[in-house]
Amino acid sequence: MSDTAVPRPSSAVSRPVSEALLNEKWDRCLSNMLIKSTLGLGFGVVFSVLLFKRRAWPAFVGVGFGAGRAYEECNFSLRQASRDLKRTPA
Amino acid sequence: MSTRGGPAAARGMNARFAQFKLVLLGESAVGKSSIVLRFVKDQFDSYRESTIGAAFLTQTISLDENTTVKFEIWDTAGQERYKSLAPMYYRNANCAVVVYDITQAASLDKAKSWVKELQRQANENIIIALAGNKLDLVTEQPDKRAVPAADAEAYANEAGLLFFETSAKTAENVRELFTAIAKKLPLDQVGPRHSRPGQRAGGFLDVPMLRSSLRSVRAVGNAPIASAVSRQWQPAITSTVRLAGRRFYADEKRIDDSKLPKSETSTSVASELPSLKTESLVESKDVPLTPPKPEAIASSAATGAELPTPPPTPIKKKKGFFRRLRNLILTMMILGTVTFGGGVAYSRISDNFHDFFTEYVPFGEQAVLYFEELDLKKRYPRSLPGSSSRSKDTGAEVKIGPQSGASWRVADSSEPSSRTSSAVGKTSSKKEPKSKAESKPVSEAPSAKTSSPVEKVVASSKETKPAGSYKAPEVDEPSRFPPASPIDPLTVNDAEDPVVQDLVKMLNDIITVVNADNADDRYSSTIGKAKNELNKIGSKIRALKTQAEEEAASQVASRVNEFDSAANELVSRVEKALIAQESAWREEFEAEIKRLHETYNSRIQTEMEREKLVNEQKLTNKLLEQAVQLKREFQSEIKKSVEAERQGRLGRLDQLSGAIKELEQLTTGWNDVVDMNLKTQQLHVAVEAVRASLEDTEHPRPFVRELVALRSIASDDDVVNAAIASINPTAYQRGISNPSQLIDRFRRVASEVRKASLLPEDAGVASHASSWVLSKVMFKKQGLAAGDDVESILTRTQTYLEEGDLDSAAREMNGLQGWAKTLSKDWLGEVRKVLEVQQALDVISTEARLQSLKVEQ
Repeated sequence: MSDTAVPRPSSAVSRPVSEALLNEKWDRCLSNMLIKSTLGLGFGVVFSVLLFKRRAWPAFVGVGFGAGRAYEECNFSLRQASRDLKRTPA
Repeated sequence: MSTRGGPAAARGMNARFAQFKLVLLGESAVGKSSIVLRFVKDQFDSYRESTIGAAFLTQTISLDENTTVKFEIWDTAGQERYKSLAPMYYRNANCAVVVYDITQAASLDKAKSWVKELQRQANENIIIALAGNKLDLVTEQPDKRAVPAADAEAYANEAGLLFFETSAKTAENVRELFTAIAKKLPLDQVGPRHSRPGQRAGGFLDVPMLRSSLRSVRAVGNAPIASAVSRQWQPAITSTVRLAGRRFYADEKRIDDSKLPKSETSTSVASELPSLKTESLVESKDVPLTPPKPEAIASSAATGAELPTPPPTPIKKKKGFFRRLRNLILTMMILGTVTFGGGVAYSRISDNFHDFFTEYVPFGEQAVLYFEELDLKKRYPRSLPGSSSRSKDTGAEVKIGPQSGASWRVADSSEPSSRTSSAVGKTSSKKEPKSKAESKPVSEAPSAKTSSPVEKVVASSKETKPAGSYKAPEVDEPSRFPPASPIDPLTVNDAEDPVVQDLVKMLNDIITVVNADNADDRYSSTIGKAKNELNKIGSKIRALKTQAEEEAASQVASRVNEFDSAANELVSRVEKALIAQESAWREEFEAEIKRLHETYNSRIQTEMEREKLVNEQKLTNKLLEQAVQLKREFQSEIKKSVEAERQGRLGRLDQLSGAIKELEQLTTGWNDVVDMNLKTQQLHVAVEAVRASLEDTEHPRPFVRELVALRSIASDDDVVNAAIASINPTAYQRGISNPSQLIDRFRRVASEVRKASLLPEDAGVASHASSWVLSKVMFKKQGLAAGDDVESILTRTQTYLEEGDLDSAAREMNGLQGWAKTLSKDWLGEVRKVLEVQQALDVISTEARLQSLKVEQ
């Protein structure tokens, strides 16, 4: 039996260390925010170009929509996690 | 219509309506149909199919306000094959248009012939128009014209025709043509169309006039007057009478139209028509357009009445029938005789026809024969009587003919005067013997050449009988010599030979003939010679015969001798051969017997040898069996002795092993003590090894090998086993971290936990963010801080850890709640594993110590 190699990676892959749980969630939220707001910005820009005579506000609105959506998702995931925490110890 | 009532009649005075039958004639492809089409429908068709039979069209034109003319146009087919139909169409026609093609001279000739035909066959007062069609072609290319207009016009004037050069294509002169015809027609006589009289040109009576006349006719009620009233002939009158009381419509007159021509042609009345017509024509000129007064009609009727009424037809018919019958019979007879005569005459010329005629026509043969005979008679008048009888029965004719011509007798009888007596004598004497010689032997048929045998026999019998008793005086010819004594018939004694016999017979015949002829003296010498010769011949023949016999006898004798010798030789040869063969056979037989003996002997020998071999084999087999049996017996004896020996020795061995066991039991007591000592020693060493491996590692390392060693050493110790089982498998598989590592990790965990220390329950993004921010500015605590909040718990744990009290540190951390607990869960687990391992090792070491104490006791 090899002493180190086999068990370690499996545990690392399958489950993050408990102290990193929160950080991981934050990472996810931030990346989500970035992607969503970029998408929103893109749509906003396209709309501003196509429909709104290159005004700035459609872009901002797009970003706002993206960021808002990301925020809401992040919020939901955190609440879900805390709810899970409450349930598992009980 | 003008036929209606009073006012209508008044109108009818002015409005005239005429209907005419018009026929188009001419060569094919001159444009008759095109002209009609142009006239009727005002159309032109460049590629028109040729008309088949005829086409019928009508067209009405108005000449002036009051006069309308309706043309019933019969467009006939121009092709030659329809020529025979043309009379059907131009009969009863009032007008005809003869069309020719001005680009084809031949068509004008044809047109001329049509005109001629029309003038001869059709109505006398038919109006004929000559139309030269295809004017358009000529106007385009003047050199295409083949018929000069002047020529045609000259002809037209000469023949009294209307002449136009038309073009159906451009419609030039077409209408003019028809208008001119209409104008030329006897419009004066035009009446209502229903009153049109049969085949005549348009009826000339005006309706009122006709009606009034008819009424008068009806009033009178007899036919002669009716006929007198109109110039028409009877059937027409009857029809008009029938029609008079009715209203007249345009279509009704057709019925009459169709009927009338028939009656005209078939009956004798038709012959009277011309006179009627001429009169009427003359009259019609005088007739004004307005209807004439009844008196005028009456006068005209009076003239008409003069005409003889047609004789009653039925009587004529009867007469005609008989006459016709007679005529028929007469003509048939004449025809028959003429045909028969012709046949006879022709059969004289043609052989084939002769055969046919004589065979199939009754009395034909007789007639022909008769005429042939006549002819023959004419040619050979001499043979008249004979031939006439001959001609009747042909069968007899054949027999008589040759006889009369060829035989001497007939020649004698038929031509007595023309021959000289000497010649007769000669011929008769010459021929007599011949015929006699022939007649006697029936077998001598080949010599009979000219006449049939029957007749010859008859003739000869006739002749010979008188010859036998006959003497010269009766015959005409004078015999010079008195009849001498007849020559004796020859008798040859040795005439056995058939040749000689024949000769004798012949000679006898000759002699008899000579005798009969009384020419004995003349021939006696020669016959005597002949007799001598004959005798000589007979003797010679006899001599020859005897000689031949002798020769034959000698020959036979010699042959017999030869045969005998040959036979003897043959017999002797055969005997020799037989003897030789017999000896050969005997030798063969002996040899065969010898051979058989030899083979038999050899077979017996082989047989005996085989027997011997078999016997030997059997003997050896028996020997072998005996040997095997002996061997078995020997083996069984040995076995028995060996077993007896073994049982004795085994008993001794058991005793020995029991002694050994006792010795072993004695030694084991000491072994156990030694083993126990060793085990405790080893246990100590193993535990120490595990401890060492745990302590000196920088980072966690599995200690499975050490544990396995420990377990193998203390396999039978329950305490050790239980202790090892209490350790979490992950601990010894992955290894456990040492205290410094645990502290290190605690620091990381603590910072994370601190970030989430201020979180409420059910925290969202905002609370997390605020907790993270606020945790930075929290007051730090020191030592064993009292309190239940996260921060104080963390500081307490840290102090315990620094003191090395893992157990209390874990207990503190376990008191955390919510996110803080979740975040520190892994660290807690780790600490617990370490604690478990430490505990187990402690238990094992105490156990080892206990064991060593046991051994020392």
